[in-house]
Amino acid sequence: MPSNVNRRIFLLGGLAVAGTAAIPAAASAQRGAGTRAIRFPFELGVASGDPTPDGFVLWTRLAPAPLTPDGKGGMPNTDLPVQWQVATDAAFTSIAASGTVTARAAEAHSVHVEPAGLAAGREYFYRFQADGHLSPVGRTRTAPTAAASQLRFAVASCQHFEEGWYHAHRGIAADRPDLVLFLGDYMYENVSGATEKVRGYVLTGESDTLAEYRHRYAQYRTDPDLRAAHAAAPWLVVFDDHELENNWNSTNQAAARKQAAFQAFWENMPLRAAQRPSGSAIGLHRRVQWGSLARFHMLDTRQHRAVQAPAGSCTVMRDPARTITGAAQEQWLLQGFDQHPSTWDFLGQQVFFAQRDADAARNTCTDHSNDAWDGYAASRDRIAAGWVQRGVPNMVVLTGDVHRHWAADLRRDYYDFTGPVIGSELVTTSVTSGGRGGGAPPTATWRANNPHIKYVQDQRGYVRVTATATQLTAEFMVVTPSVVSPTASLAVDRRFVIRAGTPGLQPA
Amino acid sequence: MRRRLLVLAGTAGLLLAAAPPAGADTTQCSIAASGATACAAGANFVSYGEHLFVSDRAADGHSSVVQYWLEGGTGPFLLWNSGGNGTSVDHNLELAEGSWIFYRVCVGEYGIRDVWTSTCGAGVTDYA
Repeated sequence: MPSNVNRRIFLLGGLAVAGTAAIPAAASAQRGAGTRAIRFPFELGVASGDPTPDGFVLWTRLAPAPLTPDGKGGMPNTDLPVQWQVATDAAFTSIAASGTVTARAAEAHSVHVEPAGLAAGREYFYRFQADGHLSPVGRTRTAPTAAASQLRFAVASCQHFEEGWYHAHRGIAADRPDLVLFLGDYMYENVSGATEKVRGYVLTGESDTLAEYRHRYAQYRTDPDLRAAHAAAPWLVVFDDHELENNWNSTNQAAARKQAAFQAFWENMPLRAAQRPSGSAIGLHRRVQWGSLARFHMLDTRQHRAVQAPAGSCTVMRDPARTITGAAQEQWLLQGFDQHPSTWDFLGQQVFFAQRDADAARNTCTDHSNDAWDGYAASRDRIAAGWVQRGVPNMVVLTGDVHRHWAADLRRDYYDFTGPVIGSELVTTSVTSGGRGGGAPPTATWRANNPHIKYVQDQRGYVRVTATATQLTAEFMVVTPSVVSPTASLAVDRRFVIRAGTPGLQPA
Repeated sequence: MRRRLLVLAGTAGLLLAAAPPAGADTTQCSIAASGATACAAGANFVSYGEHLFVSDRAADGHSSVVQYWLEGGTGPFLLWNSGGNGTSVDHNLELAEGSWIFYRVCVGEYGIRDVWTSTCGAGVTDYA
């Protein structure tokens, strides 16, 4: 239930709720009263995403009974009209766009609305109405067309539902950023079984059907802090592996399971129609332009990757025939590097980009992750060379996956400790995955062998970024005492800056 | 929580409030699995006053237990009946008016607080 409304049910007089065309002026979420076909259906909240200068995508999914095991959220097998509104104020006195969309049973009664023709670079508010019920109000914004004084965004990933409370999302919602990047492992498909759980799944087995994926997304969305973070800002989302199965690649998944996982991902995310899956394929990589200040290249390093190399095989990991992005996405990315419309370029992607080599020995790879870019070194080399050769001015790679905060500088050759820095990588820790954290930090020897890595922290949280035309500030936020505590605080654990035109992280 | 009847006036015009439609009271059964017969454990949710009754319906030496989840992203919470065959325990919950509860009933061992998840019924959503 939305937090901004008393737990009461109101019967509104007049056309306001009796009809299906108008939405009442009152801004708060409200349950329709009397005999209605469905109960309050906005239990999963509202969301927006992928802003352009004249629009964004708005999302909701009707689910009056989110935990119903069949994954249908308590909805009937019939379609339902849903009204939507976009306003310039939270009270909805100035409506900028409105319409009606059909929530289809075949898409788990999710709706994806793409209003257009809005003003660039400004804040908007939105809401839905279905069967007389009003949704919570969401805040979103359009991208600027020209210079913006600053861009504030959050980076988050890896939010295992059972392993902790979503304090990080509470912090993101309170920040009211311009954007939120979620870089994968939004949902975990695997069996319930964490050693320390703060809550549990209803369906405890591994999710591998459409109904099970739908159900698990719905259970994640029962968290009020997650819903609040979605309602606070537009999101840019990509999946990693757990939205389908741990460490999957292009060769090891049945088409039927991919189709089910992609369909459920689409149904539960604020994605545009361009990202709607077709069978067992989904076009996830895309760009989002933020005026002349920033450009986001959102990548899919999972769907098109070659099978992971055998552990320790330098030969396979460096095989130039192998790819982590697929040839088409790589070409799309490199071609994008030919233009330089913005001060900052961000790669929003899943797995660790910089090299991590415990012994700094070029001829051993037993200490390389075969699931990260280290396991696809030639792919990384082509992309890094691509942005250097094409003169991309300020590259920052944004990463999830590894359940720790990391900050690193990027090089063409990581064994050359004095070689030029070509960009930086900001790795966000998990929202909850890994629970309490507190693992041992790297040894002094490890650090000496990886001088490009400036910071590691095994606590839960997110990364907060502020970019201007001259400087980027990255704040690594951590939850204390831990995500297993129902009450916790958020604080900046470490702060770095990157100055435009001067690659490399600087302590701040 | 008691239901309320409200009369409010607001910007949308006269707001007349009425008691919400109560959740239809629901009943659940455990399922048969190794060591447990079908419906050895039962449960019944009564929306008015938010009562969850947990009943033991088999002389099998085991307890009955309800798992339930609430709309704040919390659960499962456990409600036990270890009183033996033919007994029912009334658990008086305090739920927010209009909020949902998803529950299911299972057979379990109260002494070690072990829920036999293979016996859990499918579960149902009801409303306070």
